[in-house]
Amino acid sequence: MTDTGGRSFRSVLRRFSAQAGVAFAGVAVVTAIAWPMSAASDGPARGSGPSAGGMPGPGAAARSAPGQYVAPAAPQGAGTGRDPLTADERQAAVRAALSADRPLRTQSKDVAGRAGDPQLISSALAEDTEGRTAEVRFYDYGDNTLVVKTVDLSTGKVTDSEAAKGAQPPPGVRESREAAKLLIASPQGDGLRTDYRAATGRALTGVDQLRVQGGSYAARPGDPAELRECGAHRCVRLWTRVADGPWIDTRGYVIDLSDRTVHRV
Amino acid sequence: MFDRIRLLRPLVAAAVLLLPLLPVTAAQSTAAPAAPAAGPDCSAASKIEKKLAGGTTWRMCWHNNEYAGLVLEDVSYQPKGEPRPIKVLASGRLGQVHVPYDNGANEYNDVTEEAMGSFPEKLKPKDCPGGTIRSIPVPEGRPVPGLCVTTQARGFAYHGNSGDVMEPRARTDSAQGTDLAVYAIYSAGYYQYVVQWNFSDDGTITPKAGATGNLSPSDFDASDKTGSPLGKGSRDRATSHQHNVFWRLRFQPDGSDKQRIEQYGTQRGGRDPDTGTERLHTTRRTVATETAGNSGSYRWWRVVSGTAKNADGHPRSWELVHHNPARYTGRPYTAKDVYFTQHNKCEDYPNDNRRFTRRCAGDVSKFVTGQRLTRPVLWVNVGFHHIPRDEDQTPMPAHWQGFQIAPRDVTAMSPLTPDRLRAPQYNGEPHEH
Repeated sequence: MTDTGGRSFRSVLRRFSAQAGVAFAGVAVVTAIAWPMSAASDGPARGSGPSAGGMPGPGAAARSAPGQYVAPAAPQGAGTGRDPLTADERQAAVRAALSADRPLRTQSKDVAGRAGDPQLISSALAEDTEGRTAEVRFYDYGDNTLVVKTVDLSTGKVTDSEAAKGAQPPPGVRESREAAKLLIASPQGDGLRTDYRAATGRALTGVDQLRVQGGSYAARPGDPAELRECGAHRCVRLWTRVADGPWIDTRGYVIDLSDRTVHRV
Repeated sequence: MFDRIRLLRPLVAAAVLLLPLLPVTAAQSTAAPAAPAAGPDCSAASKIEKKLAGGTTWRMCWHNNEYAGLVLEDVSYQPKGEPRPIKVLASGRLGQVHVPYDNGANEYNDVTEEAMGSFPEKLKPKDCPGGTIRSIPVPEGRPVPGLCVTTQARGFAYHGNSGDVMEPRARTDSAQGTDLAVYAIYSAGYYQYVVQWNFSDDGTITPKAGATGNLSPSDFDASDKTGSPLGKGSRDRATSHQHNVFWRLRFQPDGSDKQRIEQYGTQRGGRDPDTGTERLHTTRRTVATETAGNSGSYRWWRVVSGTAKNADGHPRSWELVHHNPARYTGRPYTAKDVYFTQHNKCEDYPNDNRRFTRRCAGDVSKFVTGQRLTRPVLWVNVGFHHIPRDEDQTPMPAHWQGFQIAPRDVTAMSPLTPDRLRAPQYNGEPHEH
């Protein structure tokens, strides 16, 4: 806890916070949970997490008339029992996972190829455990390693750590979007751009014009040579549709996020 | 072939205890010794609690897993007259939706490749009649109003005449049953899956998945000879495919991990010489170690509490009511209908497990290694072979696959029995009073 991760550590948190901020916009932050980095010099100040927007945090689950939408209860502070992780707990878990592993937070690469941070893939309450335990998954694009950290949220301690090559969970939202960006920018994306213009009358210039669902792709026996690394590399296949519009079949392409290349299946 | 042998070996090696099916004569009348907590272990936003018209209350916690979708935990059942909730499941969720196409061109894993749990569909009020829609948090996006909690009619609960059980003034009793229904819809490419759990007032749990959405538009291949003609004439052929849906269940009967799996089987026992009618002989055995098995027409399993008995002195248990109508033998992990494995931290998915960890085996057929079952996980596999038909367009009508968990000796009588028949003289062999 004495070393400082510096800029890279903070930047992964900023990015994470920005993501969480979208998901939980408007939720005031209450840090009632264990804060493992509070003594560390390189952590963001307490309470600098998501949002701090002006809206009041919603209370307990509202009762409502049949069929009515119930506003989400406050994903803040510490969760109870089998509640999903709150935004604060997610942040604390990511912080704890990174703070205990200096190489991970300083020598990794994220999906965009930026050095320093690993790519955060997911964070969730661990299954079949007593107490509040988080499981955080990162992918280090620097050396194609999946890193899974188990964090006891009551102590802020990392209780287990696994680093594995060749393990490829489904891509996170950011990874699928990065794959779509690469496809759009690639000569292989010709068909996608043409289909998009045919469907909308407009040019396809950015990933925000699409809705993508990514699938993790592992090489199959008959795949061309350039796809053989998929599995050791992090490869993605996309289900793509025009935002609020028709599907465009992009399943014939595999995007290798590890070497940022696009291939036909 | 190799995989099949691996599968069968533990079956043979399993220390099985053959027990004759004798009537239970123990006269203990006390129920669960351990007092379960009053409610499920979560805050109000994660809690589902519903008292149904028949007087039965179901309680549970829910959350969303970004891969598997809806997860229900700490599920308990409290029928009318029971002083405390009776815990059933520690957790239940989908394990996998495995979709291989008949022409061998594609094979999808919608949970472990596409993370269908991250893509809940927004529900409209009309999609949740009579119920309440809750919001599902999703990674990096706004929560989706996508979880419906409602009640559904399920038709007749019973219809019977109390003269049969010697009530002095016989009456015809009848009741319509109701379910608590909890569901969300998740998309995986062109398909959308209704992931639903029904909790009935009679104690039955029905997990099921309804596949809808649209047939894959890029899997119309007239040349592979595995498709059905859907358009005019026979030009456009939709490729046949299979949906293998797995559920992962962890029971905690009456709040304790102390439990055993029992397998029942029934064989022909020869004809009765006087009547000429075939006699059937039923046996049960304890499945003590990890096992994979097929649910034949006369083979089934139950999870028996190691601590609790009902007021009749019978051990409380939960029966797996399961039939796999299309067993897909193309993969070792789909070749069996049910797998009972000892809980291991990194055995999370019935296949593709090594996408998430390299510490554990890759699929459920390799989870079965002969470990003693002290904390069992049940993997329930239900297949559906879809040979498309004209009516599958469009949107495709939901086709369902699922199973049931039925209470067996959880209460001394049906929880829906009318109060006036809840009396010792109506529990057991009818006789004059």
